[in-house]
Amino acid sequence: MSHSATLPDPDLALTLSVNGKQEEVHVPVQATLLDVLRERLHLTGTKKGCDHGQCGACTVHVDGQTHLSCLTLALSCEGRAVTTIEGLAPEGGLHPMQAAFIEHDAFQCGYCTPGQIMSAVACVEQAQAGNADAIREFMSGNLCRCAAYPQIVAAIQDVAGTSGQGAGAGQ
Amino acid sequence: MTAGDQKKYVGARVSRVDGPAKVRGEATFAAEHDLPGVLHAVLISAACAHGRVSRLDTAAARQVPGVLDVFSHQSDGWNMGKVGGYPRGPAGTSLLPFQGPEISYRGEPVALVVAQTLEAARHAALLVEIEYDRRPHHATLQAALDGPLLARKPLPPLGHSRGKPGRILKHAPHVIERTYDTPVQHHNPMEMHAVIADWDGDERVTIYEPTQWMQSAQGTLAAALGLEPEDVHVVSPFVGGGFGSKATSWPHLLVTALAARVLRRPVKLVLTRAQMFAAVGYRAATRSEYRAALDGPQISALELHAHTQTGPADLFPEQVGMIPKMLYATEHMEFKQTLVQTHAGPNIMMRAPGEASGSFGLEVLMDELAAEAGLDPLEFRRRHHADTDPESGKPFSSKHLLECYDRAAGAFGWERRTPEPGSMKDGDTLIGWGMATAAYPVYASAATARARLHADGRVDVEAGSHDIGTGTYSILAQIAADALGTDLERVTVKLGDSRLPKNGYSGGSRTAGSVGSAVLAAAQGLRQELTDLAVNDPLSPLHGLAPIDIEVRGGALHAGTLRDPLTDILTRAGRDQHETYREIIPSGGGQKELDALKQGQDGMIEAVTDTHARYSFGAVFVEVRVDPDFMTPRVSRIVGAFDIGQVLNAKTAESQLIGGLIWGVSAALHEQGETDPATGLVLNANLADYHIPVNADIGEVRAIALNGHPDFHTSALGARGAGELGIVGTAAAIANAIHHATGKRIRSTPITVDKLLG
Repeated sequence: MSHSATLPDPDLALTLSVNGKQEEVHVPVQATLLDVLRERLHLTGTKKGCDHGQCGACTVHVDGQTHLSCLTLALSCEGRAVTTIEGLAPEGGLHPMQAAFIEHDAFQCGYCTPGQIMSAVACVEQAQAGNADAIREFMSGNLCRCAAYPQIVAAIQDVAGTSGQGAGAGQ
Repeated sequence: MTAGDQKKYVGARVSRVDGPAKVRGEATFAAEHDLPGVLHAVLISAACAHGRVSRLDTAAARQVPGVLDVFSHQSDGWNMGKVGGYPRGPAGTSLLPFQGPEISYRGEPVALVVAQTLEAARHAALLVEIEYDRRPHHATLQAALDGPLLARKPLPPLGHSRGKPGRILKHAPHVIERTYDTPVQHHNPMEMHAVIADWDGDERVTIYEPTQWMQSAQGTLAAALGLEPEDVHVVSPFVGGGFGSKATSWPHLLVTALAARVLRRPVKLVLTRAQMFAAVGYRAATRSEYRAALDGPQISALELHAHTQTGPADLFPEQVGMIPKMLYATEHMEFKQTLVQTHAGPNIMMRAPGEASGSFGLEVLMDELAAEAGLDPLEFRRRHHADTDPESGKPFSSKHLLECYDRAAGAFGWERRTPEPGSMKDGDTLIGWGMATAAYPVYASAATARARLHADGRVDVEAGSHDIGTGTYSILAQIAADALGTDLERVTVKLGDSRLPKNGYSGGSRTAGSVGSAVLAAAQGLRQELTDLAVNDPLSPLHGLAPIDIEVRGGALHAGTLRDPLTDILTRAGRDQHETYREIIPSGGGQKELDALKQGQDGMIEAVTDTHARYSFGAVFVEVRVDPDFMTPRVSRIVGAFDIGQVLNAKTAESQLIGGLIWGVSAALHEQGETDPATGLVLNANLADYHIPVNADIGEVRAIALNGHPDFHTSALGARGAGELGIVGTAAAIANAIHHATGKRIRSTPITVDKLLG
């Protein structure tokens, strides 16, 4: 084993913009955005399901684009706008996608749900929700072991106004 | 309840009451409890299936800034008392961590690094140097069947024999012999197992962990560390999926708790996803060897000899015979099971343990026998419908399987099926239609609950039970709201705290019926006590009336045009609240089960009682589409119809059933733990290589829950569980559909392209 026992200066100071709020943190360089959100800022709505970018539970928006926060170094987010599930709707309110997930029972245990919703919002915003097949494809980076996939598709179609559209053209 | 009572919520399509918290990310899972000064732990698991730790050097790890300690079998003061493995005891395994250098299974905990930050702990864990003396191992069922290093244990108590199957099979002209295999599967709930241990002195500890059975953590810590069970306070309000892996405690609980006691600070451990493949149980691999004698269109005798994998200790059986023993009217039947020990570590129940794996062989065999008999697979099953339980001879408590066949077949369009394999196509794509029967035993537990009415009209429901995504919060609120004639929004359900009224393990699909019935009893008891207050109160409009004439709705007691709000009754009595506690023993159980519950044991009430055999039933129909060149199968359509007794919440019950059906797809086409024969370790211990369905793998899925058939032989609510039934038989229905599409009969799961091209 040749791992160095010396860690970089743990007091790297970062200012992150999370849900419109400026947050100053002191973290090691290797700290991931996910661990900083969960362990330092106590924004635990963003979930750790694998820590390898394989399950999508940690999905957040950085400058409006979906990012896997477990594969994103916190220091790479300085000066960029991070949005987590906690910042999706005003305090006490629900984003239409959150309301649709409740209505369609698009979750059971709820652990993958924040990541699903962050991806689902992006699916509609990026005009990828035209039919069920397109949604299934877009949402396939977010695993749900409870297997609420049909209900997730229904919730997104509801928000996108494409309910009843099954396969895309040519399928 | 009387005829005029409120029936507003039970059975309705009610959105989850915990939904807003979950979609906002506000539901607090175990690792998210914010404890000041919490330390972070990283576990190191054995990279060895059998042997001993020959060198363990922690010097470099200890030099990492922020590291407080590295614990292992070399640490002082880590001797533990014996703990029983489930089902004899509360733990997932009796093999305790850090008790010596011996390694008896892959992934056994060998060291725990604790540091001020997660980053420091993770870095230091890479610096712990470990070497092993490796010994020969059997890490798979096949390896253990090929050459015995460990014992094989016949399990006579699980066996069954009726009639004279041996004699008939010996002389029958038409005997079909088939072997079916199912692989190791890993639960992989999305929330990884985690523990935070927070001590108050050396004798009292609070444990935050996701669990399906809080008393498992209590019993395990009490036995291992010499504590009183009630001094272990377990907090588990939300569980990010369990499927059986969170039913029992695992060794990482013990090492986290001990580290926290030694360091006198709260310690948090979150397992890695890779560790979820080694340290928290798995569904054992199974082999089912069948012989069936056909006499024209009837099975005249059926024999199943099964070999199932288990770990090096504890001997938890994957009960593949559960469904084959009872599903069809076969007069002559024999079942035998042998447990085959391996170094793969402790196995444990995983969603429909035994029923899911055992139904694969049975339901593919039924398809093969139907073809031999020249009958439609549905018709063949109808001809073997069991009107009474073939295993026990007892009447079924409530069985509507034929209605399930009719409803599901009708919705699917089964009558348009052409029987010849390969005969249904959509362009070049091969279409296959297959079906299977589902059944699942109705288990129950003694249960306890408390209901409390506040003077402002709020209602609390308290039960030391769990919501693992099954909808427990919602159904308990619905039951209490109807029993007290109030609005759902006024009811708050409290679960997941060991200080709440004791309840059993949330597994075997028994929480809804058992805990639901306790909440019903507590809410009805509360209402009865308030009624007694009213009729005895001269100031009540209901004074002097007979309680039997009084109904409850709209938050008030009613008798004709007279009305007395529940909150007024409390106010007049000068109370700010009134609470009622109830214990229930479901039919089939007795004081023994209630006593067991109170002593922290499982105390499960079995499906077959003195009077009835209690099972839920269903029928599953699937369509697969197979590319003729690449032989890639896709499940495009599933329709299942299920008889689950009284449906408590149509929305969450359907989600449970749909989830089960998709688990069937996963078993049929995706899931398999791959073990390296050289090292005995899991090769695909991550969510990219261990395949489970993604959204694009799933087509149309429809679950029909029959209604109008409450089963009061199983619970006071008439409800049976919905969580496990949907997976039973589904993998076989898909295998049968693939055969119908391609003519290829695959007798092992998962059905992957290599098998279809072979």
